[in-house]
Amino acid sequence: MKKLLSGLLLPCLLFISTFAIPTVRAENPPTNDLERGKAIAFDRNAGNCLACHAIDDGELPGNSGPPLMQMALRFPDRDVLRAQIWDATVRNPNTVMPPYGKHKILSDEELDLVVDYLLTL
Amino acid sequence: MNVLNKKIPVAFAMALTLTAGLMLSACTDRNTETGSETSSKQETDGNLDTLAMEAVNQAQVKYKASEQAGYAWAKAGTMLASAQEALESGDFETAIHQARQATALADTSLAQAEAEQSAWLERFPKAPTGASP
Amino acid sequence: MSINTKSNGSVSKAPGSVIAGFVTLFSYGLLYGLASSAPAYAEPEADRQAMRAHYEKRFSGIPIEAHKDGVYAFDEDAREQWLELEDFPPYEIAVDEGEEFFNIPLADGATYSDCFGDGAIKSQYPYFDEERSEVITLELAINDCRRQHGEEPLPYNGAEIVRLSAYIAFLSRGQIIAVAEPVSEPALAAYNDGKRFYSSRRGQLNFACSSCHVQLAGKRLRSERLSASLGHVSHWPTYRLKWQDVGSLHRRFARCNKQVGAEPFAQQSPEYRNLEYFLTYISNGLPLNGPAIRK
Repeated sequence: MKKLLSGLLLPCLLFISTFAIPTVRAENPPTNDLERGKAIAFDRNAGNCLACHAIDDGELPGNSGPPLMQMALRFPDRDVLRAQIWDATVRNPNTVMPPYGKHKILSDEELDLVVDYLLTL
Repeated sequence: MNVLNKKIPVAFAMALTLTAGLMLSACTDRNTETGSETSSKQETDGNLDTLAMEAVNQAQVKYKASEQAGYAWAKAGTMLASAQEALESGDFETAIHQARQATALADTSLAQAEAEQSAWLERFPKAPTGASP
Repeated sequence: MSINTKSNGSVSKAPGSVIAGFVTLFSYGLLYGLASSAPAYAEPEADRQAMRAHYEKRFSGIPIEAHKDGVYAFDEDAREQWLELEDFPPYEIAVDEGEEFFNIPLADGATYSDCFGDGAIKSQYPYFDEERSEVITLELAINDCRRQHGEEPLPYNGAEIVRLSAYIAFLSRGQIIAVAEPVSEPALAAYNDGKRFYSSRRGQLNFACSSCHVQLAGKRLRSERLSASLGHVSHWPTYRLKWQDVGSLHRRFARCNKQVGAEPFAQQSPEYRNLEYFLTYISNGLPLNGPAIRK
């Protein structure tokens, strides 16, 4: 009986633990969505917004694009800001800004997090 | 005492097995769903491995085309490579998922190649007015 | 730019005007011919002038020739540190090794000097070879020389060819870049292919060479200033601190392509040779100053 039990229990527990990992991962690093958005915006391998824009307390920002400040004032319509990050060449074909959504540099979820963060600046 | 001690774990184990079984069947349902996205015909008789193989092949074709156009993206290449790895190791779900991502990236790079056919002509500095000979 | 586009094609009866009218018709024919075969490209010399004018305006007070030093032409702080590095130039060993390679006899007993004389020949490259109908770079010429004298060609990403060209660059310092203007149809095609490559957005990040080096030249990406393209070709091979070694111009092209998320091309591929041809032509008039040091 003991053997049978362990034979049943072990795979079950293993099974559950493998499925539990994603939930743990999703709740672990991010403290809240705004901080996640900021982390994505600052990450050199994700948004890397600081390459061109001065933002908040971001270190060593570039100056190829305008500083990102007073964003809620500049973009009263959230969708306009989102569209700008999705593909800025729609509004200005000559812009150097990468089309983060169109070229799948950020996922839809990441893009929304970044937009929400930017609107707090 | 003994009986009680044994009964609880057995009930627990049975409950767990049941849950696991339900989760597994949910998984299989999802697999058929992802399969139906590629082709409804294969929903009934298509195996996951053939679906994965097809997805990887499609990604490969698209990536080759982007290479030929001179517009291959590094990310599409690495995504395709890991899809191939997943396929070889028998992880068909991952293979399908990554192959689709690789295909989407290669498609976007091909659209870029298409747009650049003429767009580049506008990007060169224009000769200063009045300075032409 | 000599095609007369102003004439409205009016034909009067005076004999002189008939000739003028004929000329007008002829030039329309020319225009039509150009328009139907390919997009109406600007002539290379007009491109060169346009680039010079662009950078003169963007970097006012900085002579065009100064861009041979890249960002150090206009970034004063960085220039100080860079000049200090030149006290003990890290490319010196590569030049010495290149000299040794240069003097080792090839399989049939000839040496590189049978192909390249005293070695001070960098300003002759790249050029468009009409017979072979392709751009010949210094690296290509080195391997041609080897084949002529019974040796296997060197791999373009290897250490030996970059050291040979570092030695040749060193001997050629001070020569003025003077690529012959592309005139023949195939030469123009190679030039325009390079210009197209330079101006086309590529990679997941969607950057053209010109995005950074024309549009944003002088601005900063993070803490790095963006250099002007005139002068991009003057100082190769270059010792990059990032590489801890001397590397070729094409290796740098590949790095740029990777940085924007594009799959790079092979060194000495037709794509990169045409790009080098275009960039070198528009840099005509600048002095050669390789090997150099860069971050």
